[in-house]
This record gives sequence, structure tokens and C-alpha cells, in this order.
Amino acid sequence: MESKEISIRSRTPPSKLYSIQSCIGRGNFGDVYKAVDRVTQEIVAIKLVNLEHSDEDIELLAQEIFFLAELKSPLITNYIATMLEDVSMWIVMEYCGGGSCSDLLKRSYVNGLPEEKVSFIIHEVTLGLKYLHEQRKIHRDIKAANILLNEEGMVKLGDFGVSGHIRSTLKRDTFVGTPYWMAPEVVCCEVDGYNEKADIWSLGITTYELLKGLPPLSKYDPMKVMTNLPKRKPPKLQGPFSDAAKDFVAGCLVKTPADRPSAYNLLSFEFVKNITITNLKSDVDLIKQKKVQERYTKVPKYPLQNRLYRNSNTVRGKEFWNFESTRLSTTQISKEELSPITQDSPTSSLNMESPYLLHGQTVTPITNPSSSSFRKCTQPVFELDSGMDIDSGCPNAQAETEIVPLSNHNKKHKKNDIQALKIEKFDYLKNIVSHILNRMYDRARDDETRKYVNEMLKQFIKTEANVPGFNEVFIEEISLRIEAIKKGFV
Amino acid sequence: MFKKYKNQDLDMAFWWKKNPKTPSDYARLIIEQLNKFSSPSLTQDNKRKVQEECTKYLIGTKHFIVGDTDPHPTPEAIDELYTAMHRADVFYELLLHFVDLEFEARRECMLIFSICLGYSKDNKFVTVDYLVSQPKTISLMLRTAEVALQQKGCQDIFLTVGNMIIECIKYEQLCRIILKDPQLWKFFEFAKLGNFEISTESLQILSAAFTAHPKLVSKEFFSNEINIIRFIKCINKLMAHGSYVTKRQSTKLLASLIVIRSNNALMNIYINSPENLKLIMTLMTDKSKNLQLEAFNVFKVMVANPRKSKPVFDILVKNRDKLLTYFKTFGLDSQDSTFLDEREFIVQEIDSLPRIISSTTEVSNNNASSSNAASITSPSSVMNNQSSILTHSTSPDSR
Repeated sequence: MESKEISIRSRTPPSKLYSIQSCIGRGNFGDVYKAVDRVTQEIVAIKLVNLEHSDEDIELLAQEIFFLAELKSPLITNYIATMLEDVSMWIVMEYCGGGSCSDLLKRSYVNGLPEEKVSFIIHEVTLGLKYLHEQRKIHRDIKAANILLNEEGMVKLGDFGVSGHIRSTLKRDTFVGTPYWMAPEVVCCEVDGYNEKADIWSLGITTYELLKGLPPLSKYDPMKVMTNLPKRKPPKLQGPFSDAAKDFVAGCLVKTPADRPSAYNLLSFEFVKNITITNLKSDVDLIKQKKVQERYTKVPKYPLQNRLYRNSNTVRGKEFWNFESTRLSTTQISKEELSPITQDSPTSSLNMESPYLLHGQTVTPITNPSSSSFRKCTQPVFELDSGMDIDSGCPNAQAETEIVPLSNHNKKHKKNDIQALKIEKFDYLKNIVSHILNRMYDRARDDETRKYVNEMLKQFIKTEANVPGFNEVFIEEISLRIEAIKKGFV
Repeated sequence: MFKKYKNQDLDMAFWWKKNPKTPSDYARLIIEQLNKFSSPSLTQDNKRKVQEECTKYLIGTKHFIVGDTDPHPTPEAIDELYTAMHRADVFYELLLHFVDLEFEARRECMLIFSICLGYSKDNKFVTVDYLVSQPKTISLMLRTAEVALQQKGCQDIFLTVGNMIIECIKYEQLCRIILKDPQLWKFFEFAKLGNFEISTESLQILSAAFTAHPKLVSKEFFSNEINIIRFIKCINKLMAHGSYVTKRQSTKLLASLIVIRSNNALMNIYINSPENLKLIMTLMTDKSKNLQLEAFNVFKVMVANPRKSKPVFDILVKNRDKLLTYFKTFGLDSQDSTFLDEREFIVQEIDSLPRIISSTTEVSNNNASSSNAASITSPSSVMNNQSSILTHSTSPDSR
């Protein structure tokens, strides 16, 4: 009954189909990663949503995702598939290698983009909205950060549908940033109280943002902006801009939704009628270069290795409850009815605690690369298959990978090697040092502190490039020291 | 650069002028093209041509039906189109060739279908009435979902048909036809498939079918004991063996159904089976907090039942202490006052269950530790165990 395609791909956990490369975005519903299809080598973007920790109703979420599945257009980031592993949903989407328009603002045009570029971008976005609205779909979250660019510098609308409802956005502490783009009717009404015209308001704010570098009122507290929005007059684009640009923004920022033009009508505005450029390839290339120079990485908000069903044996019921001497014997019902086992029984993954637990080995990879090191210290429960591959920065990883099938049926002394190569893939710079410093950056009270934190991070990156393994040894020494102090060897 | 994408910005007015037609021509032209799919001499190139024609006519039909043409169609013209589409069984024919159509054509098809369902004239849903009089369309729709599974790119097709089914379910008369169709049971099977989209969509269809019209379901579906028993068997399998999402969704569906008063028959059969209780208790110890909560919503009904069956009562008694331990930590962080009240009530109920005397506790512990041995225990010794286990000699039935 199952087609070939289903039977091959369906039971395979997504982490076996895609190799996760790096975190490219953080969102309320989960982090977005760049990943590669292991078979086709196609690059994709994957949004990981932990369903156990999300308040979102699965049914609603699925409905929104399936709506995405019905959209196909060069103007939007297209949906590829959704898969499930452990309690996380993997939403696989088209990858836009050129970053977002807010990258353009941050890195190339802090005070706003030139008008001809904005009119090109906004023209494409308006076409995208026209397509979306024709499909009876509202984006709900139009802003520069959600306007994506592919490698060729073409514009694509991204991150809709799943970006979800306002109610769930408000509940979270990370909503800061979005209120500036919200239409007045969205702020004051309930979820069903607005239609596709809300996107048009946000489009106006986004045009303003692209031209000036920031959305209007961005220096005020987002909560205040939001509560005052219905009372206030619509923001106005002022300054050295063309009348066409001012007209377009004013056209979008009409308070009564019914009086706001549709996406179709907007296309006849002068601002988006005279397009002089056809792509943003040069800008995209420039940003790429900058990112390479900075060794730009984003630190995921949620750890990748977080798994609920760590061991394959998830059935606790029979151990927990006493079902034994019941009068009705279990033979009445086939055994399979009684033992719920979660499919795709996940395997355990990297366990960062393990290194602290064993014999306090102090051999570092630099002083003695051949012997077991910090990374190779193990915990007995550690399993071979980690759920996900994390970018490997380690030159040895490849050579050791080949040992896997041989030493699968491990003897005790071989065990270390096997586990070593799983941990080998762990990027200490990215997952620990850069993570810690990013947190410190967030905690910093003033700009000066932030500057120092930044410099420190740069230093670590530079050192790692020159002395590979530096970060690992550094962390190793810290943890050994802390462990020793805890044990009282001060 | 946008033109490369087919049918994008297709100039309908131009096409309209080139092919002047009466509204019923839309139906006729679609059927004409669809028939070409069945021709044995159809080459790959020709097929592509036919597919494109179909997409074109479907887009034209949609524009016409929503009044998006120049000039706007008159109400009479729209009526004529509906009549023609029904007379030619356009939806039936489209479904017959659903897998032959292009992605966009299928999507247009779905959009047209849902627009048609919502279209009413003189307070009558024209298309709904038509589908009721011609139930073969709905039946084919349910089967098309299964046919889709054998195709390449099956998720797309499955999701589109699935959406059409969900649209139908919104209308009570159509939901009735779906509930009566044995093909509906197949969706329990599809919900177990490993493909996330297909299993989730299947469960959405089932949830919609069983919850959209509660009265219809309890009066015409759960009034039949054969249906109840089969439903329990099917949903238990999903709760026991589905993926994480399937487990959560199916448990939620069951919990929502058994608390509906008119589904009395379903509730009584479900909550009196010890095997169901074991399954629910097992789910309560799942690592997923969400699944624990869904399972609790079934468990609470079983515990609150004043006339528990003996086997159910026995399991609860035997696990009295463990249950009390379990509830010490279960749901403590919840803010939901209704839930907390229910939890409180359930704890009291469990607390008032008879205690087991210590000597037999040992026996049952032994049993638990050597489950293999326990399963070969002869029925008679189980019975003996049973009778000695209660300190109260009162039978639960007398409560």
C-alpha cells in the first residue's frame, strides 16, 4: 500500500536525511538551521520546533504548515517537507543564501537603502503578497527581517504562517521587535479581527524601515508603541525622499483597513512601477564576504541535542505500575496493544556531562593526541548514534569516522575511540565559547562591556584559527579545575 | 523572470476573447481534456499539453466563479456554470484523474471545490445538495486519498484531497456520508504511516469527522456497538504505537469524545475495559508531559466512574499507592484551576480505595520483578491472589 518513496524516506529520522550545518536564525518557535540533503546535496533551511515545549496547538500548527505546502511561487521561500524526530518538528524550507533585508541594513546600509533598491525589493514583496492574498493567506509578519534574498540576489518572502498568531507572540518574552510593524487593527482586535490588509500596513512600515534603516518610533518602548498605536496618527515618511516613496508609504499607512489599497492596487503606485534594477546580487555577495571575514555564527536558542526520549526503551508503564495479577490475563489482547513504544525511538546524543565523570584524565589533545583525551572520557550509557551532526571543525574526524562499523560491537577499550569520534564533532568554539560570550553580551549593562565581550570573542576565533583545538583545551582545563575545586582539591 | 513560472499573471482577458464561450463550456472543456488522459495513445508530450490545458481551464473557471472576469459574470451565468458542472459531474471526473493533474491544477480544483461548497442560492447549498444526491463523488474522494499514496510526490496529492475532505466534513449532510463510508477506517491506518504530513493530515480528518457534528456522531455512529468496538481498537493502536504527535492527537481525540454526554455508549465500553486502563496508565508515565495530560483526561473519567467494572477496580486498587505517589508530582506546575480541581478530586477517589495488606504487597512485588514468571502463573492462582489481596471484603459492585 505504501509507495516506494514513502517507505524509503518516511521512517528515516530527518537527522539521517539532512546534515545540520549552522544556525542561521532564532525564532519564538524554534531555531532555523542551514542544512544539506545528504543524498541530493541540496541546501535547505530547517526550522526546528520542539512540540513538547511549545504552547502552540499541534493541530493549528499543522494546518498552517499544510497551507504552506499548497503554495509554490518564486516570490516566496517554498515549503519542502515536514518531518518528526523525537518531539521536534523539522520544517524543511527553501534556503535563501543571501540573508535577509535586515542583514543589508545592518551590514551595508545602516541609514537605509538607496531608493531604487527599496523600490525593487518592495515591488517583489508586493507581488509576493498579491500571490499570497490570492491564495487567501495572510502573512502576518512582514518586516525587513522576513524579506529574504537568495544567492542570486532575488527577493523572496519568508517565515510566514508558522510565524503564528499574535496571541502566542505576546505570551513570549522575545516578542520585542515585532510590534513596530503591527497594523492598528491587529493590536486592538482579537485574532480573527483582521484580514490581509494588515500585511499592507506592515509593508508600509517595512518600506519606511528599508529607506531609513529603522521602523518608525523604534526608539520608544515596543509595548508603549503598541498600546498607543490605535490612538496615534499614522507615521509619516519624512526627509530627503522622493514623492513617489512618500506617497507609497502614506498609501499603505491608512488606519482604516478597508481604505487601504490591496496588493494588486499598490502595484500601480509610481514607486513600484519604475524599477531600474533586477536583482541585488552585488549586495548579497558583499554581505557574504563580510560574514566570512567575521566568521559569523548564530548561537541557537534551544540546544540541538535536547531530546525527550533519550533511550530506546521508553516504556515505563510496566515497570511503574503493577498490572500483573489481574484477573483478565494479557492474552486477551495481543501484546502489541499494550506496549506503547514511540516510533523512531531516538538514540542518545551528545552528553556534555560525561567528561566530568570518569577517572579525571588530564591528557590534552595537544600534549598527547594519540591517547584518550578529555573528549574521550565516556559515560557507560553513551550510544553510538548521535541525533544530529554538528559542524565538525576537527581535522581528525574524517579519518576516525571509518572506524565506526568495525568497532560497533565494542570491547571495552575500543569504546573510547568510538565515543571519541562522536564528541570529536563537537565544536567547542561555536557551542561553548561563542555561546557563553553571546550570553555575556546579552547580559552586559553597557556598550563598553559589550565591546570588550566582542573583542574577547574575536580573540577566541582568531586563536582557534591559528591554534586548532585551543578552545577545546581551554574548556577542558576550566572544567577540570572546577571539578577539582568541587572535590576539595583546592 | 516571473513568466517562467507557469500561469503566473496569465492574462485571462486575452484568453477569454480568443475562446468566447458560454459558462457551460467551462465544464465541457474540462471534461474534454480529462478524457484525453484515458486515451491509450497519449504520449508524454501530449500528456503535458493536456495537463497545461486542464490547469488553464481550471484557473479560468475559478476566476469566473469568483466574478474575477471582465465583464463580471451575471448571477444567471454563474448559476448556469454550477448547473453545468453538476450535470457533467466535473468534480467526480477531476478526482478520477486527480493524480494526472499538475500541482497547480489540483490546488485550483480544491479552491473551486471549497468555493462551490459555500455557494448558496435561495438558502440552499447547491453543491452540497448535489453531492448528497450523487454520493459517488465523496466516496471517490475518500478513495483518491488512498490512491495518492501510491504516487510519486504523494504528500502533495494527499494533502490536497485531505483538505477537500475536511471541507466536506464542515457540512453535516456530507459528514454523514463520510461517516458511513467504510473507507474512513483506512485513515486510522494512514495515521500510522511514518510520513509526518500524511499521518497528521489523516488524524486531522478523523478528528474533524468525529467532532465537527457531535450529535450526528453520537446518534448515527456511536449508536452502533460494532462501530464503537472497532473505533476503540483503532484509536488504541494509534495511542500505543503512533509517533509522538499521533499519540498526543489520538489521545486528545479520545478524551474529547468520551466526555460528551451523548457518547455514553462509547464511554461505558471504553472505561470498563482493564486493557484500556492499562494503556492509559502507561501513557501517563510517558516522558512527554503533554501526553501525560491528555491521558489524564481519559483516566479521570475511569476513576470518577461510580460503577467501575471489577477488573478496572482491581487494577486501581493494586496500584493505589503508586498512583498516590504519581499524583504527588503530576501536574503540580499547572495554573489551570479546572485541572487542579479535577486532579484533587481524582486523588481523593484514589485515596479512598481499599488498601492492600502488607503480605500480599510482597507477592505483587515479586510478580512485578519477574514478569516472565508472572505471565505463566495459572489462572487459578491468579484468582487466589486476587481474593486475598483486599483488606475489605466488600465487593466493588456493592459500592
